[in-house]
Amino acid sequence: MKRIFVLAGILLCLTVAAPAASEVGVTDDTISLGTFQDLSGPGAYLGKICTTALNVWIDNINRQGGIHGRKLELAVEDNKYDPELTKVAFTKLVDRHKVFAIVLVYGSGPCTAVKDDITEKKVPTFPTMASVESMYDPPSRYLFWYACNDEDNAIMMVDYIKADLNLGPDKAVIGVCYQDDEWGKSALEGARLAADQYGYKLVEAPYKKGSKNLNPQVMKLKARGVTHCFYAGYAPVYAVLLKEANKVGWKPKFFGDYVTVDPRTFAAEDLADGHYHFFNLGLRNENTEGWKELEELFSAAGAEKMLDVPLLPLLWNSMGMFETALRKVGTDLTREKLIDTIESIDNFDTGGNGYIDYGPGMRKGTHQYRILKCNAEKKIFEPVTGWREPSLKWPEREKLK
Amino acid sequence: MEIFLQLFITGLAWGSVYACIALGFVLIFKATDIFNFAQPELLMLGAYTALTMVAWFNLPFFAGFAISLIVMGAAGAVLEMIVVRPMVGEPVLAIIMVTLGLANILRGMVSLIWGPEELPFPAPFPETPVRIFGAYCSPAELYTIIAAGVLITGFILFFRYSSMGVSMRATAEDTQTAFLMGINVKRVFTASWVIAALVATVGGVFLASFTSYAAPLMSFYGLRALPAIILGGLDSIPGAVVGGLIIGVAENLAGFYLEPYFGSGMNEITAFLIVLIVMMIRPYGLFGSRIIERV
Amino acid sequence: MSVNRYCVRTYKQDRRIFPSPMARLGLGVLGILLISLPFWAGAYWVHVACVCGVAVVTTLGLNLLTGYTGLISLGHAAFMGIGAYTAAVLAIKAGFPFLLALPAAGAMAALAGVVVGIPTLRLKGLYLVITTLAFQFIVEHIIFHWDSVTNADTGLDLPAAALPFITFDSKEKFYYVILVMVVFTAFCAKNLVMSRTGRAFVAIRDRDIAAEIIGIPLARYKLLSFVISAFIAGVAGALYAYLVGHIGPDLYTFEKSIRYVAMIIVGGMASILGSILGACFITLLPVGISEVFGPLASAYPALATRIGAVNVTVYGLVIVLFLLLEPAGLFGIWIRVKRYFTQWPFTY
Repeated sequence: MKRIFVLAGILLCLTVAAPAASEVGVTDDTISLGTFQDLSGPGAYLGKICTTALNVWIDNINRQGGIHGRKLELAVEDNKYDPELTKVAFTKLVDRHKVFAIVLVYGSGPCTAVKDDITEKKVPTFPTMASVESMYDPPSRYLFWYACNDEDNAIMMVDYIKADLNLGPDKAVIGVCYQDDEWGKSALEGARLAADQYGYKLVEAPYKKGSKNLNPQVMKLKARGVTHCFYAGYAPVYAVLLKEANKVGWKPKFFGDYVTVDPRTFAAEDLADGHYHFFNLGLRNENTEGWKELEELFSAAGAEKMLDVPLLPLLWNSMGMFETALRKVGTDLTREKLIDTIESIDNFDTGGNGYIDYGPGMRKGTHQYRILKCNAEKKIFEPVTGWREPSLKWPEREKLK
Repeated sequence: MEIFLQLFITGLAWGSVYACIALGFVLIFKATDIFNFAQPELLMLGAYTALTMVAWFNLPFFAGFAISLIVMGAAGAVLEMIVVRPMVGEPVLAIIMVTLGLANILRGMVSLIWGPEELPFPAPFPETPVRIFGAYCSPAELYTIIAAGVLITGFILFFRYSSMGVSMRATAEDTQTAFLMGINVKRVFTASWVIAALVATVGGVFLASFTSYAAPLMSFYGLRALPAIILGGLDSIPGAVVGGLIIGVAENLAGFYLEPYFGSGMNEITAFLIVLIVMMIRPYGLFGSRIIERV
Repeated sequence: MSVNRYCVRTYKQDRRIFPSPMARLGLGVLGILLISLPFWAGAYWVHVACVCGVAVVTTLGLNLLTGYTGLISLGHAAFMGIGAYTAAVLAIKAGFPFLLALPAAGAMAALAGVVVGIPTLRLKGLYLVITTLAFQFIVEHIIFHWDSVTNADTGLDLPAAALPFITFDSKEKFYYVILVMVVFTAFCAKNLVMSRTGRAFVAIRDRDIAAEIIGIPLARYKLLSFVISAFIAGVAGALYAYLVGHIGPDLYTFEKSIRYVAMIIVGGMASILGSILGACFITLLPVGISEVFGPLASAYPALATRIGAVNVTVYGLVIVLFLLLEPAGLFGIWIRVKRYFTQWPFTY
């Protein structure tokens, strides 16, 4: 009888120990990574940027012999920006491709749909760029967020109006024109917090995702005398907003969020000039070390066109940090060790392309931003402030809500 | 009052775009009894063709526009011959589904050829707004309103006086009888697709001029024209235009006046609310012909 | 191999759901395969099978409305959405158990079916199509903007489904719930269409005015069709909500509605088997395409979006070619294949 127990004990140990010996998705000579991308849906242009960037990144690492002798492999699944298909794609990545980690995903709908699965299956997801606060609040050990937060930015707009422009509540009326999803609502939330705090009047003008007629919104903002307007949404729609405002003769200062730092903003030509933007990355015209590396690698890969995307460092900073963490873990690579390593990296060096930092219980990778000013003549954005944080800091400001 | 006028005029301009889309739907339906769900994709294709002519081949805008009209007309004819003609006589739903499949194909082809990102559209219209009755109007909007006016007058005359127009009407009324009367039904079918493709191109070019971009997502605007058609009546050309204008204006007004009470998408669903109400009162649209059924 | 053996001699034989012994044998084999699926297929295919199952349930309902009664609905995803949100809200806020939430979801959707059904009684053909479309968009709007209940686009997280003695905390377990629901719905639908009600539906579809003349109360049966179909869609929506564990407004969009209509057309109108085949086909088509294009996209990430575009084109192409070559749908092919084998060697 005793022998049976011993035997059973050994068996049990074996079954428990067996998977621990080698991590899922890691073999002696490969590490398999997965990603779900929108390749044929409304966000396909993002899919194109991300898949190209991942391609350049992986080729670059594999050319140098991989990570501790292990080459990187990538499985791409098309999710068409659809939560249902994202769930299918996620299951496929985890169950069929048996990936070690998921890299570079985006989309609030798609990412929210698999958020719980990520935690349950313990698959490190680095990073998600979805514009939803639930990606890092409450923090999930396996989910890392790196993008800009419009709540931060909207607060910073009020700070800027108050402290830098020296316009008191009697001289400025704040407006928020936003796409009516979580992304836009976070901008409204931030503007409301700050406006309440400092006594400014606030006007909100939401528009439906996909809409390109902003006439009712502009009329509302104009009628209520808005002088400074935050904009949360895509760059082409921002250009429409600028044109519409010009058409009806409304001349406020606009503060675009990070997505409007985009060449497509210049479709509005000189109307875009002199308006402000928020950004957490280094700019190409600053010639940072990071951008020089990007130019070199992307030109060599024949993807020069990607260099026109100012958001490229958003992908590159995080992938660079991921690579560093993978190397730092050493040959005995496991998911848990990787996460501990990512947490232990302080102020990752992005070559002047912005800050990215995580810690235990801290999954929000972005804290500092700069305010840029649009120069339509040269078609560039120029920083007008240094790196700064919003006056109402996260997570402390949650108490004010 | 000034605000109202401004909303009204901008609404009118958007309404004109809807009217162009709606016209395409109605033209095909009127001649062939087929509801073409790929019409929004024709609109998108039209905009992309014009973009290619102007931006890639460096043609002057109006020459490029004219050539893209020819190209799109040919495309309409080809689509009709390959995809739609074999389906004649099949159940309505099967044909609807074929056009939906066609929509998928066109969307896929567009993002295959031109890529998934928005491309800047080289509109020739100046940015300086024009002042009309105290409201501002961009030149692109003004041209759209005028173009819609010209199109509707043209088509009303076409259907009333030209022999092609009359045979199209006859075919719509009763295909078999028209066939027996010696009307070339095949040609009528093809002609209706050609004309629909042309109208779609006009609509697409104006829509792209409004928004400065040609994008694969443009086709979603096609759906917004559906209420216009239903409102006007599926087989009425003036109905499509009036319906389009009503929807455009109502949307814009609702976006301003009702948004504080019902939330941000109000302008989008106003059209559908209007449709629901109209359908309860007049189940065949405002201008649609009432069908008398026999057992 | 005599043809005689399948000859139908009595009414009782005619009323059988599965008339031939071969059909019953085939069904048995299929049943065993389906029941054992979680043991050999892996989590991915189980998930795909679950999605298929939900689609089958919805399609069965939609086919009752569109295939049998001839009322076209482009708003079926909205009914599913109503069901899903009802189940989610009841489960989260009122703590409804799974067994109660499911019928409640159906009931709420059925209620919506009445609301849509009454004004549409006078409408026909495309006017009805667009009115249901309007309903679809209005429901989408409400889901998106009724923040306090639906939580807008953050969506709602559902608890795992549970019966008194078992919690369906994994996909493999929930698979059986869906399987049971599919069989149950198919059984009910088959029975319904073979009954007086089913025949009334078909009469309305073929000639509604004639149907009224021979004594079928049009309004009642049209409404009944709407209610049954919406009820089934609501239940399917709730099932889906429990399957994915999280619902948001993106799940019940117009495109989904279109997909369900595609399922019945591709499968075969007015056919139970057709509904099942169509639902599986349309659900599996993108899965199959991604089996081919997925590895391609992984191998050439730089071309990934081009590959995605081809993927969309192929999807459309398959549907168009299918309808051009086989307008009767998968069911038509099935009948032909079956005829070929039953009449072998006397084929033509």
